[in-house]
Amino acid sequence: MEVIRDEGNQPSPPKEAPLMSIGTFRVACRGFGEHEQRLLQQQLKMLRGRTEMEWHYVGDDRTAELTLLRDENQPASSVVAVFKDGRFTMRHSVEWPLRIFGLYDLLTDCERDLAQHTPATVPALSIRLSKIVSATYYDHEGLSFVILPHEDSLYCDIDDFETLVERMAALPEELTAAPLNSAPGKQTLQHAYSLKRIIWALCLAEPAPIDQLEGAEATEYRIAAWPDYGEWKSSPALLRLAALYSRQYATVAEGVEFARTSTEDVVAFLNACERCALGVSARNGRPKPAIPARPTEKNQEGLLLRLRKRLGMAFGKSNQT
Amino acid sequence: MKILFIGPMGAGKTTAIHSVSDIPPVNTEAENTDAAQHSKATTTVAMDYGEIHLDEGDTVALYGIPGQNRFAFMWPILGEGAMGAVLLLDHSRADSLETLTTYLDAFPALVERGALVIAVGHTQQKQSEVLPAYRDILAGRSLALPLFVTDVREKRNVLLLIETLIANAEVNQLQDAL
Repeated sequence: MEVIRDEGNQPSPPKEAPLMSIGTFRVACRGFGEHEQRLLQQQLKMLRGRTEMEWHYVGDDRTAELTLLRDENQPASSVVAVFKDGRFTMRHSVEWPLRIFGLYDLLTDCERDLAQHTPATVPALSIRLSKIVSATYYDHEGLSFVILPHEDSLYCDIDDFETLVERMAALPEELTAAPLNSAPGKQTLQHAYSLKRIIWALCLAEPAPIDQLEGAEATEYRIAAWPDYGEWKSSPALLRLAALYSRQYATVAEGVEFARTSTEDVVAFLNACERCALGVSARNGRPKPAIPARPTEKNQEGLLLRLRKRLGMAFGKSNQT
Repeated sequence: MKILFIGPMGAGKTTAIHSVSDIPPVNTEAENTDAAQHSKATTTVAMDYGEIHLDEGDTVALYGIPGQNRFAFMWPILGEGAMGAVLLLDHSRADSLETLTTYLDAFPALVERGALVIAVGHTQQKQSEVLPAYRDILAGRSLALPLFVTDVREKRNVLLLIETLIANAEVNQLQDAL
């Protein structure tokens, strides 16, 4: 496979597709037919779990970490794979139709390249907490806590959950764990909270990466389990989002429409579901009829809305908790 | 419109309806002669009934269906036309997981439409200790039904269960409209 640097003659910027997870990369193409796109999707499905990162096909003419496009300067059986690193920087010539081993090599090359070129960033605290696998102690400016992930527990000396989340959200990005043997005992860290409840709350409070969501209508998401709303933070909008995404695949835009909330809130919800291991899956969207106009007050939806109102469960941007 | 409260004897159906009904709930408590199922002194022998009143004279009916297995023949009949059901489970019972399976089988139409919210009560344990076994049963059937640990003696908890059913009903309406 020939690798060439290409700083010029870059394609015009396509629409942006969402990057929902630090463990997920996107594949797009430009100028391929439906059959070719389906073939590519099937090959990606077969390679799932065999690459370091999870690769999702996001559609034709969309921004992605890897874009396949026909190269008019090459023979017809060749395409160009472009790696994205903020801008188009790397090109690989690959044969087409793409064989599965060729695709595997391409993906692993792309992963290596992205690892070299992507600047090191510190993941959000909720991500780091969700990846802790053994007992860990943190101590920063008077906030001390021990995390026991197998118990789903966080022990600290703060007796109010909201205060704890507020202080954790203000922790510096470069926070590092302290030696576990220096942690105070449970007599000092006497208040226990569910770790997932904290991760959930932090995710909802962290800024969602909406700058990466332009054109996100192509990707649909679904969750495999409901959030533990008996314990975790909920609101009418969050309940609606859980109802929607647990029943069907839906785009971010559909979540915004259905829960009458903001794009930021829907992305934060999906991120929170992912970090709390609720089985978020994504797929390339299929054409669907538009959501119908809101029915009149006299019909069944009107009855549900009145029941909501009667029980104090109105929702919408002005009613969220 | 009607909402069902289902579950085994002693799970809290009567209590849940009491906490949200606009009328003094009609119930049919009688001396419990079925000590094998539960040790409580009285039990519901017909059904509990409560109402939530909406404007324009509309009413949401709340039915608490007796949980004794000998009444199981009635369950599907009562489930017809319901917006959804709250399944209350008593985690202190040794057979609470089997009970979940029984009710999932008994109300297939509600399960298929996601119109069943599962509320696990009678426990002081953390959610993370209680829920995985129930979640495994749901996952084994590829179901993503709402599942909470709750205490139905508190009205806000019962309201959360009802709100979950409403949100699901709204998804069903969306799907029906497409």
